[in-house]
Amino acid sequence: METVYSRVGIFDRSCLIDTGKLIEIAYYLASEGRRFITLTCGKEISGRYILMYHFEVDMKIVSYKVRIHEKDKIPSISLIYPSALLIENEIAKRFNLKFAFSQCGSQPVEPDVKNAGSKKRVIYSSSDEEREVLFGPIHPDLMEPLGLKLLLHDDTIIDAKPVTGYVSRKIEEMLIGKSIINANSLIQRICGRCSISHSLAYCQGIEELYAIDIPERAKYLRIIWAELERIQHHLSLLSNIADILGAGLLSAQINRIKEKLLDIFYEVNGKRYVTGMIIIGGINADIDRDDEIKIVVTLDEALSQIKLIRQKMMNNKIIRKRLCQVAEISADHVLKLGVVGPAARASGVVNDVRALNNSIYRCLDFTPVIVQNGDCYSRISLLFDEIIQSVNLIEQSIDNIPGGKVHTEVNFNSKGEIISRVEQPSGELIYYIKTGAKGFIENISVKTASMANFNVFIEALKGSCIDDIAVIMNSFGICMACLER
Amino acid sequence: MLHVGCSGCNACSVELSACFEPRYDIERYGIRAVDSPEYADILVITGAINEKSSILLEATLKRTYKPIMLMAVGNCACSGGVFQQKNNYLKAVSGIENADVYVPGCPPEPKVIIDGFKIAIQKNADSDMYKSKREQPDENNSSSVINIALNETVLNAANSEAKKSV
Repeated sequence: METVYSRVGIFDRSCLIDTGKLIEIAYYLASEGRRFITLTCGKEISGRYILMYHFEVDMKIVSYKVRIHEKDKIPSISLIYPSALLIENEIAKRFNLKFAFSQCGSQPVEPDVKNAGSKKRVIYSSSDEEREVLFGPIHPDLMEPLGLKLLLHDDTIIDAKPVTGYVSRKIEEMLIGKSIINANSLIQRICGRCSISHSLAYCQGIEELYAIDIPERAKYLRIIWAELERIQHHLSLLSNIADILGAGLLSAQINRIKEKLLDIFYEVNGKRYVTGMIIIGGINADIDRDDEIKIVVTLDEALSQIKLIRQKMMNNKIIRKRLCQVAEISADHVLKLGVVGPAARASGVVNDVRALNNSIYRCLDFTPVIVQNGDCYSRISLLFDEIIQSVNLIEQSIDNIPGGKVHTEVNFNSKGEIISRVEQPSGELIYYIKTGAKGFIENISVKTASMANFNVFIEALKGSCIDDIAVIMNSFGICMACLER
Repeated sequence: MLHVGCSGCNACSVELSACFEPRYDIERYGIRAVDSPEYADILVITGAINEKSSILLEATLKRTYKPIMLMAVGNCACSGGVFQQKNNYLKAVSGIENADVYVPGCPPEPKVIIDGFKIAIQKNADSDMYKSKREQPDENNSSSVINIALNETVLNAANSEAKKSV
């Protein structure tokens, strides 16, 4: 059995280093402005582990391996890269390891960026008291449990500490030992709203590793389903936001449009949400000419209605007052805290996996949409822009789609490891997959966009009203099921 | 009804909130979403149950006024779903308390969830346990799924007004 490292440059080089050199390398990369992506841990022999740090250098992924014993104290890089703290905590709990701040001081991490949040709230209160309130795990505005310990000064938030762990299902541990084809059904159920992106990242990684060439028609169909899911996800965020802001009629109109899109999923596949369209080797079901015409017709009707709703929503005085200058983040925060997705693009930073050279979107005419002023208003107007762009991409791919088969045969006859990247509706999704002999999974690690954006969300709550928490959470696109898979 | 979302993948919660939208309007049957457990007649549970979520669920059940109905929506809440494994720390709703209505599906469509509510209402009407919670139905009136009991004074007042106008 031979070990296979990537074929097309997604996973460029990996080298073994000592723990002493880790901090030097992290300082060097941070000074050059490189982004930290994720950290994975694998068990070698009992008592010995191997840690892999992945960074992004010039649009490619570079990784460094460190061999450790379970009683070592590993130097933590969270003072250099604050986005690493969440992942280090998870790995420390799961494998019983210890990370130490000894080389960089003994203080816990405070990110070095200030002034995130709203600046405009004026407080007309007679007392200076601060109270502590639990924004409970179950709340009528939230769909999933999330606990927040808030320090309030008469309706504005001064400090927020999250309490998570209500949605963790330990899916990565369940996947170890499963066969490669059977793992797909668990991976689709990590998150119900973005299930196509998860299975797309997994299948693209496995096909890259085993050099499986899928037919051209399957590539265009994958783009169509991924973009349809993006439209459905953005519409559900917008209807939640409109409902919480009090515009119940707008949210009902947005849902009426969304139901027509879900009819397309239902007629081709039989299910609305967790569809199972994407499998290793291509696509599960084909569409005929009638379906293509139906997609174009429904999207054309939907587009004119969405533009009208956008006019009503974004030009309303009350909605503008509640959204402008709320939870503002700057381009500095984006670069230092590792923000991805629409939250980064709304602050003026280009961050889109679909624009890379080796993505399936290179056959279409695509440029990422960017908006300045990273507050809630610009993030929400970016959601509308992306819906319009997705409709354009679907129409382009229906014009250019070739005929042919939709599925190829598949053979797993070696082992190896690979990283694959996909643009989820809420940001960048990264899978690290390591397969063993006879087609079984040895190790898997998932990094979602909600994990990257969670720290910024908590920072951006400072200074905003307690009624706006759910609106800010929906504008960042944070999904608790993706956060604690 | 009060929706308690435990550790699930979100698809069942989205389908449940789609029941309140114009296409599958559920408020015409008299079912309303409330904000706290004291006002709820039925608790709808979606998603599998974690160690931490079981504490949440038991705490909300303590705050409700008895009798209360439980409805489990989705495969994960009914039996564990895809996450049924040995040595796993996820369990179904029946690990805490037996539910009255189970709605299977991954995720179930809104039509199926509305069917589940209909069964819950009929169970409410048939069972002895819930009789003290509503008034006795009138035998002269025709029976329907939702029994509406009219107050006699209102009927008498309406009849006397009709006689006066004539």
